[in-house]
Order: sequence, then C-alpha cells, then structure tokens
Amino acid sequence: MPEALLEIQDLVTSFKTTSGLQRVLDGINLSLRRGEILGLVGESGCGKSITSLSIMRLLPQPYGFIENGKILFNDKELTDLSIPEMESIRGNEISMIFQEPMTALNPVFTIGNQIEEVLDIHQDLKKRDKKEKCIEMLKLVGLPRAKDVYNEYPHQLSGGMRQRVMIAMALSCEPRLLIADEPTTALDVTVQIQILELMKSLQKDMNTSILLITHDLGVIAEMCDRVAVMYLGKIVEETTTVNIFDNPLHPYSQGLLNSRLGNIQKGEKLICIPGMVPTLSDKPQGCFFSPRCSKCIDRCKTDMPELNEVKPGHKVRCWLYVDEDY
Amino acid sequence: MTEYILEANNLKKYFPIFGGVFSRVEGYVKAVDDVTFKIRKGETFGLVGESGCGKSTTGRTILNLLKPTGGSVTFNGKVIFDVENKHTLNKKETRALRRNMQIIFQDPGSCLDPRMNVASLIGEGLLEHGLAKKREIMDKAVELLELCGLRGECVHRYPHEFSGGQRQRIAIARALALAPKFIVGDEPIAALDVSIQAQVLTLMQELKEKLGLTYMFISHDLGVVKYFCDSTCVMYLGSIVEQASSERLFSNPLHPYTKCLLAAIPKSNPRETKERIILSGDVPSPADPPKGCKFHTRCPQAKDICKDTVPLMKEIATDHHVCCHLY
Repeated sequence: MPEALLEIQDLVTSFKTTSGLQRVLDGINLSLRRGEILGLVGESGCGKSITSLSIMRLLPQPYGFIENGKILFNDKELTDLSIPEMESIRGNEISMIFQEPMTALNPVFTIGNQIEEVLDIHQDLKKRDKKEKCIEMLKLVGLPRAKDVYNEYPHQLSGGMRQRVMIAMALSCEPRLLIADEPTTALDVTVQIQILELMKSLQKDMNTSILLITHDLGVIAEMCDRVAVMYLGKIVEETTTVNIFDNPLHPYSQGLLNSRLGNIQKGEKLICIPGMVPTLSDKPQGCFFSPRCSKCIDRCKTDMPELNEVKPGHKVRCWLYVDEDY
Repeated sequence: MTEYILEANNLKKYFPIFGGVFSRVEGYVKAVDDVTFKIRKGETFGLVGESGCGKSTTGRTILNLLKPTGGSVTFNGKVIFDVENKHTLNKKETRALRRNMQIIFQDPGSCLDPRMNVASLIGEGLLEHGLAKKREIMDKAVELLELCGLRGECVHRYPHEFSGGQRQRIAIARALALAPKFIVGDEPIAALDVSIQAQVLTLMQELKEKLGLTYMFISHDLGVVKYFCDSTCVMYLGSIVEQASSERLFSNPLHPYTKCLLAAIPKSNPRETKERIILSGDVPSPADPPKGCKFHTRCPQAKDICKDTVPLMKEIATDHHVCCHLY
C-alpha cells in the first residue's frame, strides 16, 4: 500500500466571531496517498474550502485559527512550521488552484511575470531559463500561442485560458500535492471537460496527488479515486468513488445523489433533501444531519455518531450502521 | 392543434460598440441574431448554450426589457413589437402586458432590494397595478409565501435574513404575485446548491401544474433541461442551431454542437464510459463572428461549404429543426 502523503488528524478550525468561537471544522480525519485524487464534496458552507485553507495555512486572519489537530505532509507537521518554512512549501510542494481565475490572477502583471514570480521564490534559475520554463509550462497546459500569452495580461484571456494559466502556475514547481478548490465551477461545460481532462493527464505524468474540492458529483465521477462527503464541518462518509455511486450509506450522500438531475427520467418526481444547511451558530443537537434526515431515529437527536469503518475502505458517520453487520 | 402562447420571429438584438475620439459606433455585438421560435401554451421551453451565446438577451428582449433591433414577438395573439412594421406598445399596454409576463433572475441576492421587507417586495407589483389595497398586501404576501414553501411569518423580514434557496423562493413568489401566464426563468437555479436546486425545481414544477403556467427556462445545464423542459433550443453565438422536443434532442442530437455539449456533461457514474468529443478553443467573440456557419471554427465535422455559406434551418422530422450543412 502506498504511504500517505497528507495525513490530517482531528483537525479543528475555529473562527472568532462576535458571538464567540465558531467551530468550522470539527475533527476532520483525512489521508491522501501519493498519486491519488481525493474528492471532497458537500454543499456550500460545509467547510470544504476551509479544509484546504487550513492545509495551506491561509486562513483569513485574524479570525481563523487551527484550534487542534495535526496536518502531516510528507511526515512534516505543517501546523508547527514557522511562517518562512511554510512559505517555502507553499507553491513549491503544495500548490492551489482557486475557483475564480479572474480574481486569483493579478490584473496589472503579465502572465509571464506572474508565473516567473513562483519560480523566483522557489527555484534559482537564470533569467533566460526562467522564461523558457514559463513558456514550456504554458505549452504543457495546452495554451495556443504560448509565446504571446507570456506577454499578455489576464483580461486578454478567456475564463478557460485563465484557468489553464492558473494550472500552469500551480504546477510550475512540480508540486507533490495540488489542491483544486472548485476549479471548474465558473466555467462552461465544454471548457470544464477540457480542464478536467488536462488535470487528469498532467496528474498521471507528474504523479501529483490532488485534493479536489467540488459540489458537483459529476466532476467526482469523472476524476476521483476516493471521496469524502462533508456536512457542517464533519466528514460523514468516506469511501471509493465507485462505492459512493453504487452503494452510498449515509442518508446525506444518498440525498445528494438523488438530487442530481442527470439520471432521472422526465416526469419522475425528484427526491430532495428537505430544509437547508443550518448555520454554524445554530448546530442541531446530536447528529448534525438529523433534522433533515428521513431515516432519523431517536438516538440521532441526542448523540453524534462516530466515523466508523463499516466495511474495509468504507467509513460512515451514522447510527444506522453501528450495531448491524455490514 | 396546440395553441402558441408566444411567437418570436427573426428576433435581433445588437449592442453597439463605441470607440474612437467621438465615441462613434464602430461595430455591433450581435447578441441575438435572427432567432425564431414558438412556445406552446403550458409547456416548458428550454434555451441552452454556453455563456455569451445570447440566451439571457433573448429572454429579456422578448419581455421587452431590452429594446429589440429587429424582428417581432407575438404574445397570446397580441403583437408586442414588430420592428419592421414599426409597431410598439404604448406605456399603458406595456403595463398590462407585464401582468402576464414575469421573469425570475439568476442571482436572487441582487434582484431583491435589500431595504424592502418581504411583504413590500411581493406586494410592490400588486399595489402598482391596483390589484390589492395596502391593507390586503400582508395577507396576499403570506398566501404567496406559503404557496412557495416558506413560512408566512417571514413577511416582516428582509432579504439578507434568508439563504440563497429561500431568496429564490421569494423571487418566485414575487413573480407569481400578479398571476402571470408566462414566466421567463433566467438560470433560476444556477446559483444554488445541488440539494436546493432540486427543491426549487420541484416547486416550479408544482406551481406550473397548479397554476397552468408556461415557462421559458434559460440554463446552461443540460441535465436540468433534460429533466425539466418539454422542448429545447440550443443556441450558439446568437443563433439557434437545433430545436426539438427534449426527448428527441437528447436521444438523437443532430447538430455537431449539440453532440459536443452532450458529450461534455460529466459522467453520472464512475463506471460509465463516455465517448468524448472535446471542443478545442473557446467561443469566438460575438462582435466578430466567423463567416459562414458560426460553429465551423470549432466543428469536428466542418466542410468547405461551412466556411462561407450560412446554413438554413431545416426540418428533419416533425418538430426537429437543425441548422447545419450536414443534413
């Protein structure tokens, strides 16, 4: 079994607010193997993005902080690193692609300038080599006229091209871990598939591990080896991608799968999850999902279940699967 | 013979580009370029395409929210505008028309005035059209909110107190306040979470059955359109490339662009193997569309004729129109 590249243990991230501490992440355990694509799904506000920002130590300051837990990356404890040490890892060994490529790129610098900035910080290259490397990266992500793009500004490119530039920038130091936070949400379907195919082929070539954050189960089916489903700062189910589609155990995962329109025939009634995600300051008692759950039993209203491994490689946080043999 | 509630003929909407020292008109963005379609009473009519293809502009132009450049629209047997024959409605007639045609916008956060409470948001149209007195507004708003699946006591609250899905329900309640016959939904669920999307769609479906509405549903999500719409139009760069009943369109797509769009939908199951036709490049700029067939620059099946001759809309089978030289 390949060893874990990233190991998150009992991660608790909190935000200081006027109404006291809010736990955004509540005991996250995740591990990501080398060369693996792990998907993280959930609705907005469930803590997907905060997980990635915690790993990168880019939580919004001064409100957000890691209260407890360990993030082991390559056997290094990221939470203990000093700021300069963290900076040497960020962009070099772990890099990130954001959802909105327009806001992630600086509008007043050329594309070449922005990619070279990463190389400046992490690699000691001569000026000419830097430019060569930069153009090579732009070609690698499939941008036509890479030499011209080098001198262009972000506003001259379309959304899909900007996202390619982001990928080129993120991969320029050949990171071991790439965190992609909703990389295709802002793009059209036809461009989305181009970007996903590109990420898949580059992942194979470079053997990078990817943590893919998305709310789109279609993207998960397309890309991931394993999936973790999050709800209100906790992981509720973790298993292989095939398993989650064939045999989802947690009622929330089942609800998410049922809400998709792709495989429902016309005229059939949609089965939707009633209600909405509660706010963090108003977390329900017991299992967080219990007020919306169709299979809620008495125990769910009082106690929070643990994330149990009910089958090898299939963990679920639900009382329905605790006492039975699965 | 089914009745058509809305007919759009040769609809055009060009936006001028100003440039130079004197801000002269240098060219036009042809956002909607010669679009013709008919919507039957009681159906859900889908309009799909990539961003920038003119879906929303079409929706807004038929409602007369944007001034059309050319073409005509007939709603319920009444001509709303006919640019060629210089026919437009006067103010009074337009107001009467608004009662029957409403729109739901994509972003419920920005289409509700943050300084108005829910009761006045919903009641605004009723007051304006003299359909209710001030005293009655509250009861009417409660009724509409409950129809849209929100609790009646929410009427005193303000938009920021609601989540995205709830705001979209308020927007729907607001659109329904005047009891319209026809509603344009401009990507009404695109900004919502998956589980909430399903809720809002179910609501729209129920309301349609209960109130006998006709929808024009604008979306970029083919999965949603397949489930929700009775007939579907595919747009590319301001023109309709294929039009058919949803069943036909999804089981037997003819235009290469439709095929590419369908192939680009992510898999619904990891085991599914999908034939991929990956389009190269991006949508060309509508200010400078390619000559001939607009899709020929990206089309995998392009022939020489596509480069200089614009294909005409042909009827391949009953209710299946396609605009391509291949057929």
